[in-house]
Amino acid sequence: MKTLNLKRRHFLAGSAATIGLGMVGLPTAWAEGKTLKIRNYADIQNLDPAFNTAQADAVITDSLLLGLVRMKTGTEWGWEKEAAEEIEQVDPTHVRFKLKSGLKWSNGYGTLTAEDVKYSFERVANPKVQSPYIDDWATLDHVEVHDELSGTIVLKEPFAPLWTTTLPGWAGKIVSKAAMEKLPDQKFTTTMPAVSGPYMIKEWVPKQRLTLVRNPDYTGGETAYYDQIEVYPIEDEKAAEIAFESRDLDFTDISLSSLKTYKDKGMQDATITEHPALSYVWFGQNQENPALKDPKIREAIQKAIDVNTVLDAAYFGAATRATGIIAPGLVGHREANLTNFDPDAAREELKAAGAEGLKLKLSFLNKAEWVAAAQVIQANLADVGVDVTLEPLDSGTFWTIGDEKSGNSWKDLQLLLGRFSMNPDPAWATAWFTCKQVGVWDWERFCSKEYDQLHESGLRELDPAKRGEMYVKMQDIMEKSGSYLFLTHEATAAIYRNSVAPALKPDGTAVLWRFGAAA
Amino acid sequence: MWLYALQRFGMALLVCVLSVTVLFCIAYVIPGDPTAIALGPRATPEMREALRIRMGLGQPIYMQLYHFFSSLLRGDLGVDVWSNRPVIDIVKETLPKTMILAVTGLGWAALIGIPLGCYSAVRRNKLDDRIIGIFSIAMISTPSFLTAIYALLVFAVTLNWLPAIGAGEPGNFGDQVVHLILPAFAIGFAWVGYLSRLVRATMLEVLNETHIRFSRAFGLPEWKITLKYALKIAVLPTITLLGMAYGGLLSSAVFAEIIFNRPGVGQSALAAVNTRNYPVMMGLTLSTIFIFTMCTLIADLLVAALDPKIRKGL
Amino acid sequence: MAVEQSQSARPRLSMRIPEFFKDPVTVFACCIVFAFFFLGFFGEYLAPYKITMLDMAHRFASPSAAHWFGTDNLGRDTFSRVLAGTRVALTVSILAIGASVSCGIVLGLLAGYGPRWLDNLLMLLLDSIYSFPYIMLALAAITLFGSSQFIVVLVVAITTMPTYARLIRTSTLSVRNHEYILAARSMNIGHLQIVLRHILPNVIGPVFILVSMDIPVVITVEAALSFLGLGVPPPAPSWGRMLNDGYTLIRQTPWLVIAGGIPLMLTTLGFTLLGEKLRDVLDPKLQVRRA
Repeated sequence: MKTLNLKRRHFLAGSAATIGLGMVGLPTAWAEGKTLKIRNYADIQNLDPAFNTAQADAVITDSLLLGLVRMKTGTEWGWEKEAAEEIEQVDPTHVRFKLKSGLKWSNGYGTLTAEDVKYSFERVANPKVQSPYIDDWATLDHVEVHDELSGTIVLKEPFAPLWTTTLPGWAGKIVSKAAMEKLPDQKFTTTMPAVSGPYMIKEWVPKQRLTLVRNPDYTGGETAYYDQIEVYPIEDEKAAEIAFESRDLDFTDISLSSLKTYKDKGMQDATITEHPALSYVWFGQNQENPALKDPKIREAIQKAIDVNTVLDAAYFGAATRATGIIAPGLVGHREANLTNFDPDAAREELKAAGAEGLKLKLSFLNKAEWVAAAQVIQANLADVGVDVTLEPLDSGTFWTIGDEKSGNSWKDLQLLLGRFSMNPDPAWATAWFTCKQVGVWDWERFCSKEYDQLHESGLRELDPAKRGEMYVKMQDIMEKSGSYLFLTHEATAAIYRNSVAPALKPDGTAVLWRFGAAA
Repeated sequence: MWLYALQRFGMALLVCVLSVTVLFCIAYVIPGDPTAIALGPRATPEMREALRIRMGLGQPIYMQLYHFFSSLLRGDLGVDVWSNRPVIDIVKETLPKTMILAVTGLGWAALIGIPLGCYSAVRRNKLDDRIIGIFSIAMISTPSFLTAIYALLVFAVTLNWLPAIGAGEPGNFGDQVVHLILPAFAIGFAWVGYLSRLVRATMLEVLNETHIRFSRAFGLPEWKITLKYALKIAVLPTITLLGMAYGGLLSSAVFAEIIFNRPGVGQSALAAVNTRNYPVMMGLTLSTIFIFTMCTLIADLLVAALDPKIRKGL
Repeated sequence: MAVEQSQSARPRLSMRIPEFFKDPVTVFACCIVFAFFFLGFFGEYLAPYKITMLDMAHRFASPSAAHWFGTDNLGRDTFSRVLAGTRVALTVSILAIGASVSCGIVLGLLAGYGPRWLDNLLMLLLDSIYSFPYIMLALAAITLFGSSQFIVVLVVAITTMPTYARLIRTSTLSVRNHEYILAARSMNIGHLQIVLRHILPNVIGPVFILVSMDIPVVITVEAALSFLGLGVPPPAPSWGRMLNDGYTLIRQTPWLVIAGGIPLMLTTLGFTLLGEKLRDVLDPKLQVRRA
């Protein structure tokens, strides 16, 4: 299964220095005349939508290529038509679409046709292509082309995330069949052979700047406001904040640690926005580690941690406590946690389990937020008599620490702070904790048959109410195992000049080409 | 002289080879599977295996090492695991930025530090010498990352006189110069102190030597003695120091690069290690090691060429 | 070459002591160094608060009577952490310098006294270590073994060792052919004894000066590694980590950067002043170069 969010995860795994918390890759910018200067949290690596390495790539691809539908900006998750003039689900396994006429490819590749749609979707779904997003099209059978502009997407089985993440996401982007077939291997990395979106790349100076200019052939209707968008890859959030303050950028995401200060200080000509993020952060316990094998011990530890203080230390009051791995606003969000902070009970339960003087190691990514959170957890656990050693790890090590294929560190892993990013469908949150994922991404080595079944059915259930119940149940199972303590979904914050009108998805992800000028 | 030069050169090459081998072994043993990181969580085992083969990771280390060196001889440093760009291009993009930073940083430090040292030596133990001395030592005592942070906050954030981040508009020379000021200031700061102390010490030694005392006895003006004779000799150790400093700065510039977000060798190499992007890491580190050894080599040869005593001794 | 030393007679410290303390700057330096050692040993007991005591309600406090240097992001008392941080700085510098001096002496003596091929081999090794970027070494070591004080000491020791080895080698080369050594050899005295009895005492003097000048370098390297997140692991109160925290939190409070930076600067200042003075007094011709 497939997560959408993998992208973010991937990014996490990949872009070491930057990873921390608020990393949604919001762009930063400065708009002078009709140029927008924004920050990207990393440089582009691969703009091919079938091979985007991270959100940093996707945010650019998004302005260059069209999908049948796109995600709405604003505060509610949802989709709207983009390249499609009409699109409808005729039955659980058939989606009929009709493209707008006159959409053109650059570089003389003609018009955007239903053949292009077929080529693009089937390409991602083809195992030989080895696209990491193959699971977005897990149940795609084929795309039937009726005529130049219309066709039907045929699924083998119903697929719930189709409308929430597949079609409006990366796997739903349309590339030019004619242009791709001319390429060796039918792949490209940073030079896109043909674009259909509102922008095209004018110049890329690696690690320094990527310049987008209006695509003169774009006929998609809504035109972009800015003549030019300059994207600056700046890994460090603090550096981006300073760049914004010294007016080198007009829009940037900011770290949550700076949010309060910005709010208190008040920036004269700038606006701050905050968005609830989708990502989820948790405290995990490796249930196969000899020291944590007893569920009683794991439950006691769950109760010993004061989550609110942990969050306060790590996020400076900018993030609220999570009740699970599915954020508010999504199907399957859970109303409350089952257990609460209770150090006295924890102490007694540890005593009853004969685990006095327990010594454990907490592993986490070496970033300021995690270091702060870990130190609070260490203090909390010291209070109930558990001695915790902290193990801050660089991203290269951290992201393989629980992976069985990458060595033996998964055996020694005891406690960890985890964070996955997420796309707006609950299946992308639960996908990582199935039995198949044990030792792959499920580092707590949690495995429940009931959970796996619910996850499978959740993918096929198209009724949101029934679907929601399944996901709530799954989170209950996770929490009851004792191996998980849900911390937060984080938040994202951005700052921009008052002259800019940003276009952001509900989680704060920027949609560059829809940025405009403030009225 | 030529024989000496040849020997030193051979030694320098051996140093490079040895260091790179060590680096290679390090990359081999440190945890973190590069294919897991490069391909991300959605990669299937088959995809990872394919990349592993492409990167040559399945082979025993001596074979990997052999392939690395044999392609190195052909000028091929491999390709970036993620973007498939040749590593040599990445080196070409980042190395000049760091070299320019190091040259500018040391340049301003030398321009101020050397005259300051001369002045101190001439005014030995007078009040101004002592003040310069204390200031120099205070400068030496300030870690460059601290200088960088404070410079950034004062000049870029608070006063807003200079740009905070980046290396400047590609192609715009003036802008690049402006972006160079703060990082160069930060990395050169401590070197002003080092150089002034070193020049002072060497000068004092030289000023005491017989032939200088002779000149003084002949009634040559003090400034002429200082500049014409003493400085000429005192500059030798300074050259050695500068050679090493320059080479060393290529890696220690990493702090300034991180704080000012300059896309240089240090910053890129650090990111490459964290993502286990081994070809990039090897390429960048190899280039700094190479330049470091070449700098010390050139400095040594220069000193040998300039100093008749050393030349004769060879 | 890291160090050059001209032949000079062995220092006669006793003669210079009065001169040494006439200078107020030197007295100042001695005070700092003394304070550093004192706080390194006893600072922990003088600290008004427990260094791991969290107090989230009072974080980012400015200096006050209760918290002389304010508090950090977790409400811990910065003054107590600075005091305890002295212990980290002291331990790291003493262990690292101790290790690097001992290895340096052994390798330097081997290179200087041993056969030519061994000399060449060791020089190759030392040059390679010297040219190897220490940050890469630290990254590798920490990724491999996890971050700990021991690893920091190890990395610092390895990177500073070549300086000592070269210093000892140069001096050894210049004394190995002195008459008394040749005489000792002709009397069939063993090599080990020659080295220990006759060479070592003659070459060790400058090492002391270098040590006092290297302590600040070592402290700075530790701080720099911690700044990159590669140093002593949390919650140990290293000055470098405090600086890193301070940099990240500079908008919340300027006191952390100040509290972490000032003891670091004072200590390095004290040791550097003292080292310079020692050198001026004991061996004016010794030139130490650092990269």
